[in-house]
Amino acid sequence: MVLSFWVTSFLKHLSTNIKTMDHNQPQEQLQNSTLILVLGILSIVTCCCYGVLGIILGIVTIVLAQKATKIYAENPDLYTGFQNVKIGKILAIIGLVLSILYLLFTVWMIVTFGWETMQDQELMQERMREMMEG
Amino acid sequence: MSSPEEYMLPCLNKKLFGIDCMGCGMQRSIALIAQGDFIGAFHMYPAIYTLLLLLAVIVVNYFRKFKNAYKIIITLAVINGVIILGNFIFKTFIN
Repeated sequence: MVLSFWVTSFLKHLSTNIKTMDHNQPQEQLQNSTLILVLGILSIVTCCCYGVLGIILGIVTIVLAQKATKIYAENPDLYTGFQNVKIGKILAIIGLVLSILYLLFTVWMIVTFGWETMQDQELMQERMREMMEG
Repeated sequence: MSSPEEYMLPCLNKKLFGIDCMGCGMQRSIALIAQGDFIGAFHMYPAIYTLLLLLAVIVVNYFRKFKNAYKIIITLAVINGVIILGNFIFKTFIN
C-alpha cells in the first residue's frame, strides 16, 4: 500500500518535472552527462571484479567527463546536468584508484609468491599465514 | 527453490589467483538482503549499506536536485572507498 502510493507519487512528480523542464528551459542537457554518471557508478561497483574492467571504465569516464567539462566551460549558460558530470568524475576517480591498488596488489602477490603457488589455494593460504607470522 | 548463487557472476580474480577481490561478497551480500538477513549482509560485505545509500542519494538527486547534494555525494563516495579498501585489507591480511 505505502509502497504503491510512494511509487505513484514519485512517477507523478517525475512527469511534472519533465513537463516544467520542457516549458521554461531553453537549456539542453550536457552531452553524455547521464552516461558519465552511470559509468562512474559502474566503475566504483565493478571496481575490482575482473580488475581491468574497473580501470577501463574509470579511464573512459574521466576522458568523457573532461570533454564534457570543456564543452560546458565554453557556454555554461547553455547546458544543464554539469553536476552529474562532476559526480560521475569523482566516482570514476575513486573506482580507478581502487582498481589500480588492486592491480598493484595482484602484481605484488605474483612477484612474492609466484604464479604456481597462487594456483593452489591451500598452499597460498599457508604461505600467507607464514608471512604474517614471520 | 534453487540457490541464488547459481545465477551470480563468478569472480575472475578469485578463479585465477585464489584471493578475494575488493568486490567479492557484494553479490552474496545483496542476495542476503533480499532474503532479509541484514546483519549477515553487513558481515558479508560491510560497504553494502553505504553503497546503497550512495546510489539512493544519486538517483534522488538525479531527478530532484537538493541542497548540498554534491558535497554529500562526494563525502559518501570517499567513505565508500575507504570502507571497501579497509574491508579488503582486513579480509586478506588480518583474517
